[in-house]
Amino acid sequence: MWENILLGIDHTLSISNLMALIFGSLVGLVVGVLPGMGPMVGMVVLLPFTFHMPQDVALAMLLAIFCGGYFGGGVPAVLMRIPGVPSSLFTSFDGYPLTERGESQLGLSAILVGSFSGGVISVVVLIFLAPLLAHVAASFGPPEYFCAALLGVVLVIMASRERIAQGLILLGLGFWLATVGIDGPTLVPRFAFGTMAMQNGFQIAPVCLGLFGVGQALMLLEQPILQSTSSLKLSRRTLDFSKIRVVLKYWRTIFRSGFIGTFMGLLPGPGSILASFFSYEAAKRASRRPEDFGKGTPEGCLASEAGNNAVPAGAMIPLLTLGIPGDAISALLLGVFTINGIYPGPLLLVKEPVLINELYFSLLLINIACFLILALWLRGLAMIVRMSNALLAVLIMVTSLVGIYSINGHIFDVEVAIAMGVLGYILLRLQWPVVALVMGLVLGDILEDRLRQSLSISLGDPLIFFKRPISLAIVIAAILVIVVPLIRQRQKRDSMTGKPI
Amino acid sequence: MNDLLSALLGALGLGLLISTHWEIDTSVPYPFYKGPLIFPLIVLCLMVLASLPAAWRIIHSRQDASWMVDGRGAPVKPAVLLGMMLFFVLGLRAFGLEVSAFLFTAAALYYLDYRGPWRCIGIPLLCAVVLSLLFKHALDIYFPKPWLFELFFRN
Repeated sequence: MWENILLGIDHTLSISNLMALIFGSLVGLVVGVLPGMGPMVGMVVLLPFTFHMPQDVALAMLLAIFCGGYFGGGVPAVLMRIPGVPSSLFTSFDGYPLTERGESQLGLSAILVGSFSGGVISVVVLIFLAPLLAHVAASFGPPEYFCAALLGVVLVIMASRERIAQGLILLGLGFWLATVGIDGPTLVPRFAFGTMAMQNGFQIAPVCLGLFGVGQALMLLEQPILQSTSSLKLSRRTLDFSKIRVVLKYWRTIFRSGFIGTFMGLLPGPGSILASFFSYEAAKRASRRPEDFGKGTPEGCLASEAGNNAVPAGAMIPLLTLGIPGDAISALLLGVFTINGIYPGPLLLVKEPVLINELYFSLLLINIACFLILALWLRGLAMIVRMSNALLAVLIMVTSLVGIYSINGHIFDVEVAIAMGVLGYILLRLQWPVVALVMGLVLGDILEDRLRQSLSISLGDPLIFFKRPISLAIVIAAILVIVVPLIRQRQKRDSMTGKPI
Repeated sequence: MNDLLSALLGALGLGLLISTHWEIDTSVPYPFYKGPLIFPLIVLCLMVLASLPAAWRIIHSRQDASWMVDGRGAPVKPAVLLGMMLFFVLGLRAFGLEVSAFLFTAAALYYLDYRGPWRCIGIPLLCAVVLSLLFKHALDIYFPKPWLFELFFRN
């Protein structure tokens, strides 16, 4: 065990890994600071480059963008009341009032300490919880895996409860995209429409790059990032480290929010916005001065940022142990894992202990790197919001298109990315849950394989999913996830119309 | 618009569902539950079923129903940029990476009112050089030989 840990540390501290960590953190911070971008855009734009890297370096860089994005999102929330990522909305409630009072350094110290501690707490939980969950998952067979993946999908669909039908349509479309190409077990081409290009199927990279890279770039053309930068109030170039001591007084809030964020990250569906919301609300309820929340207390910034920054490592727990992604970013990471021949699941912790340890230490280093980069280059990063959205959109488009060609050298992939860009733009503009499409594409292969394996075991009897205790428990959980919110919604509607419940 | 898109995607699902008969070879010696057809049938049925309420609403919609997307106007800029992207893909084959990247970036920035000698020439030039250095030289990616230049040099 110790040998694997030491090897993991050794790989983490290799020059290529460190460079990838720092570069990824920087890119993550930049896309996090820029409102309307977010870590997903940064990850998909750099995705083509990762195909030319060793798998551990590629994963470290993508994880750095993932964490850096959440780190950076709090900066414009404090300085300009504009959340860089949606989950930083709650940071702006207290961050901007602090800036208005001339205490922006206190707000920035709070988001940095919150983000850092939330990230570290979640990594520690990941280190201890992942082996336990993997131990449980080791007794899983194909029916249990199928049901667990189905539960993940149900949670994601139910997270966008207002748009269930649209989520289901996109999920179906994602599943269908996953079926295009040669079917592995039977070697039968499916939906190739007589073309050679379609026989290779739709790869995750062009689809994600189109949906989130090109689609988001087209959205940027219609929404100016920032109308005016006159409200950017920042007295120093770097962070005022003396304020950190003030923030550390709220250590209980730090721990509570870190654990809430990790737990929310663990569940597929809720994501960082709910993690941030629950952390903020819990801090408000537990605070001695709840009336200060919303008027400018560093505790609010701290809670919100610790909550949302604990999500990335929390989301890694089901991803690494069950192979089930909780959101679009984790789904993309799962795609990168499988492209590199790594199949997340309970055996991953046994088969690839060095890689797992390297990921743990990389996550810790990413948090340190993000903290230091942001603290020492605060003004420079904050000023990035002044970048023209037209320039940003055009650069994303051209880099995405050339990058997607570079993966396989196929113009067809570029055409797929453009088509997905159109679809992504329409879906983003209509606010459809695009995550369902990505989940469908990534989980399609896994679900189909497990379904066919399960039915092969039972000789075609679908009741196999109800005959095994673990799979039955997961099916019941999935049904409850669907039914309970519907009952609550009905009760709420009845109480509003005055009908007896 | 949400209903229209739902119905369109549902129609796509229905079309694909009908086409499974031709697009998937079912003569393979596997029982249905092990075969290549079971999963596509399930997911396409899911797509069609989920789009039925939207299709129903469209059929029974009032005559004066609005067809506005979201009140934010027609997406002219994204449409023009999409056209430019398609030309960029064609340009990759015709002119090569550097020229097509320069032309796309310059044209797109000019169209988006990001104008001036540095903005419309300097930035696209820098972009083309960086992309060429990164992809062609650092990553050693093969790009198709520009047929237009081949033609020019042959003559």
